[in-house]
Amino acid sequence: MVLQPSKPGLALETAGAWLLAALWILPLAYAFWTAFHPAEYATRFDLFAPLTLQNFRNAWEAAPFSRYFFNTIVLVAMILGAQLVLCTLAAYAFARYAFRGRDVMFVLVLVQLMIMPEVLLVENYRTMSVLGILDSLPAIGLPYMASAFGIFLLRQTFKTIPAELEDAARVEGASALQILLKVYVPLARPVYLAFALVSVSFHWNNFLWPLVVTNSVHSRPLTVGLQVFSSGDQGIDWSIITAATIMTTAPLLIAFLLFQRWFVQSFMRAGIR
Amino acid sequence: MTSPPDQPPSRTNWAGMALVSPALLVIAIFFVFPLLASVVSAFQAKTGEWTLANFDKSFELYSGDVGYTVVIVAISTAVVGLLSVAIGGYLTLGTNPRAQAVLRWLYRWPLFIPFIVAGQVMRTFLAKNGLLNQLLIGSGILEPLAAQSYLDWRGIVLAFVWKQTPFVALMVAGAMAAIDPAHIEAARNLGAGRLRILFGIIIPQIRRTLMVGLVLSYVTMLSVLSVPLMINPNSPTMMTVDVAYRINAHGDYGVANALCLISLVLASVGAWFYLRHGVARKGVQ
Repeated sequence: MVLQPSKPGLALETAGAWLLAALWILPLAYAFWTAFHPAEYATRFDLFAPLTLQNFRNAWEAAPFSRYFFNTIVLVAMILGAQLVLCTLAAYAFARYAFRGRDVMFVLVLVQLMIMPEVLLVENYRTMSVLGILDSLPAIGLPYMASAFGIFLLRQTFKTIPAELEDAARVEGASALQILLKVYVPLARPVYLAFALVSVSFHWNNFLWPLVVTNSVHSRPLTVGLQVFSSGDQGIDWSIITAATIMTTAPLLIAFLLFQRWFVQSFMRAGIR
Repeated sequence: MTSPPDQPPSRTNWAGMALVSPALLVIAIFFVFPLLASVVSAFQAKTGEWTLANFDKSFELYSGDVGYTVVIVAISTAVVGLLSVAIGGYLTLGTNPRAQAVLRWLYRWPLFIPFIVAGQVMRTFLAKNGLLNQLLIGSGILEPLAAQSYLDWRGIVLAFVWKQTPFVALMVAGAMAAIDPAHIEAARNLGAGRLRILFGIIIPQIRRTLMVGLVLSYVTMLSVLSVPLMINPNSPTMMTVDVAYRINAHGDYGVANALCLISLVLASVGAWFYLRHGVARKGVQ
């Protein structure tokens, strides 16, 4: 016999779920409300309050957002491109080759996942200084180009691909590189998409390292540019602050709507950050 | 599907090494070397001699902030765990499909919001004249004169919980969805209530996933600068703010590195759990 919860219990539970959902979205909904309404409605809810884009205009003029957007897009594309190449090669070797020190090297790769970036901040800053590339996009991107997560995820995926496919390709005369590009990479396409979404999301959002390594408009990404709105110079105009905030995060939110299924799968697939 | 053998006979040592070497070079330059150098720097004075002075100074100046950081991250992790189980549990065992669908759609949104934006949004939401106080005043729960700013440890915890719960809840909900429904049905048929099913059947099966999610969240929250910088940069504050301050205001890399190492020790506890329960479970050789 199946025991059903009592009606008041069910109603209470459902109300709790609705309340939790509403509370969860409230800060974001508030940000949208404030950004699209005049400042006098920032803390006053009025269904008939006039809509405006003036806050976005003011925010756009208060900081060089076009440059920040350009920097961020170039940065995430550069990092992703390098990660796809380096992680694919390394993952293929870890999955399909046996060589001296392989396991030690793989553990070294994994340990990266647990080391907080702040520990490496000072010394990486010195390295960039020695390389003479401080305050540049490569300086922001270089430390992330061999993603431990990417290597781990692809290695696990490559290991599930049947060896018979590789053997067949080899019999046909394919070289190791051709096998990688024509057999492994196409079969791992959903994983590549998932990894790309996570990588773009992470580096679009990254703040601490870009803050330390950049000091001019020419190299600052959006997140660092957004920090100007937390300073006293801009006053406390919530409408402009939230408009700038939404501008910064809008591409990611749109990407989330478009690729929601892959985003979710990517996080579920490996239980990663 | 079976995994093929690791090493087909034709494979040579140098080919594998050549494929791995570009990634290893980057890891050596930007991970291994800086990690070793920062450990050495934390134990060295500016003159080059070995010393514990950087740690003495760190504890003298920032022991309060170390405790503050641990407490904030511990509370946040606990609340994230409770909410994640509540969300995952409702999505698995809930009875109102519409409420389930809305909750499933809404709870994920903060996952794609950067920490700095989460900090910024919370700053406007929790300020003395922010929406939270306006709501409490409007609904008669709070007198206007009693309104207070929540931009202190409470704001940091709220921002962390808001930002990190979707990540853990996503993992937990995925693990719960993967449980064999026959287990839940069998428990139902034996008369178990949903709370009993959640705590007696489901949570024991997803405990490891929950643990891995919480550990990764714990380590992530330890290393976030933007949220405490936006919400509460004044003392007491989190260690990340202190590290940024030692570097930017004093160029004091020794103390900054010592603080980073203290953070690393705090995170290592989490790392130990992760490597033991998470990676080991995935069969890493």
